[in-house]
Amino acid sequence: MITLFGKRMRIFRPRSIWLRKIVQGGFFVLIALIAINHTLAESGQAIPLLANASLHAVCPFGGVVTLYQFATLGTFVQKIHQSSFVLMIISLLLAILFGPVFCGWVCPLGTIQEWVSGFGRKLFRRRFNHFVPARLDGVLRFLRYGVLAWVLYMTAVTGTLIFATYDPYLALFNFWTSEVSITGVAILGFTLGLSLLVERPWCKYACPYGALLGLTNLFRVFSIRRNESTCKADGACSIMCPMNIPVDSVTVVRDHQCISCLECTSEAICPVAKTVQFSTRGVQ
Amino acid sequence: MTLTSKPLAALLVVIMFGGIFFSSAMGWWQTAPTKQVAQFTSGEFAGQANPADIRGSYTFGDVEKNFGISSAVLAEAFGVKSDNPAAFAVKGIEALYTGSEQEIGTASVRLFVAFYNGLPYDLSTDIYVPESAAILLHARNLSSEQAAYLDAHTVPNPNVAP
Repeated sequence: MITLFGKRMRIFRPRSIWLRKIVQGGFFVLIALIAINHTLAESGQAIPLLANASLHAVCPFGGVVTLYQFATLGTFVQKIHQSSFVLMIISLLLAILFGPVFCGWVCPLGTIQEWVSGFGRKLFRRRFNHFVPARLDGVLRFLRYGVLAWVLYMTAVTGTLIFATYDPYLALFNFWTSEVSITGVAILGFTLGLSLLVERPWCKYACPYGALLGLTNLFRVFSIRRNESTCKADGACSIMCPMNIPVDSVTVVRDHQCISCLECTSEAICPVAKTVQFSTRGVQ
Repeated sequence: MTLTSKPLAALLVVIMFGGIFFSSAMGWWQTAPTKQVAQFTSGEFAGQANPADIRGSYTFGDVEKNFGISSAVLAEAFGVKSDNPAAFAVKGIEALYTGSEQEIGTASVRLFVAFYNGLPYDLSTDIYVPESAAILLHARNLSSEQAAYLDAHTVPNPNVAP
């Protein structure tokens, strides 16, 4: 940090939150290993000391879809276990405190979309993540609430894990098993292809769990806050935001699509210290 | 209060894995089915195990624990030839009857268990059982409605010697 013209500025600053990428990679590898070990366990060749739970057992959305059946019958939807319920509660607690950090820091599907988007950014540079017309983009972002409502309704009516047929997350870590449908693999492929043009397309437009966690942005404890008095209005925060949120036009980010990645903060892209922060109250 | 990435990452990992550790200590962390079927919640059979909740992943041994029907009887009913019928998964039945005109599978086991134990079962859909199962069921105390349904929903069992 140096003081220039009376302002404290950082000369050598990271362009990204590297720690988030490490955490994301860690969770990706963990889930991949668990999924592989689950397959090995079915043939009696499980790796010792490593969990071999099914993918359904380590997905918090399973807890959400089984809520209705649990409330009415006291049982879980087929293939869903108690661990999904526990993860749902933990993720909800995290979201109330910090927003959808599960999406931005944990979810392996979000991670692999970001990895593919790295190539897209190199290919299309400034055009990347700006292909979808703003008006259409704004409407499409509410599509995921429709997906959420449909999944909850259909699961309640049929008592089966209806979303498994379409779930790209299941396809990602189970594509080598017979449990995965062609539809799921096709949606995964389409999502990854689209990630070359748009950052996190599944999260923005279709993810039902992201839709649910996104609602916590309206009341979460820690939020992204911008100090107008020190802001240089260079727009860097908005340009960097993977979810295209106009951070530079608000003082507190309450957008339902924020994933708490911190890429817009003064710790990353914002050039002025203590201007865009992740805090509980307004930056002074 | 302001957080940067380091404390946020630390809190995230601590809450996530701490929560799993805590739930595990409390006995709430279960990543496999409990193999405990749901019970009837109302009516004459309230509190008894409900055959409609039998899953394909259950073994005959799991069915035996829940309903008291021995694995040997289940194996005989469905023509399963195994030295260890208790380990046979219910979903495996479908593969034994691939040549059958009507589907024989998990629903057939549910129906068999319900009739065998005199429990109610939704008969609004067509569920078929092999002849070997029907023979065992006819020896039980079936209602006239159940007996008529069974007569209309029995298929030859190619895997069972006459």
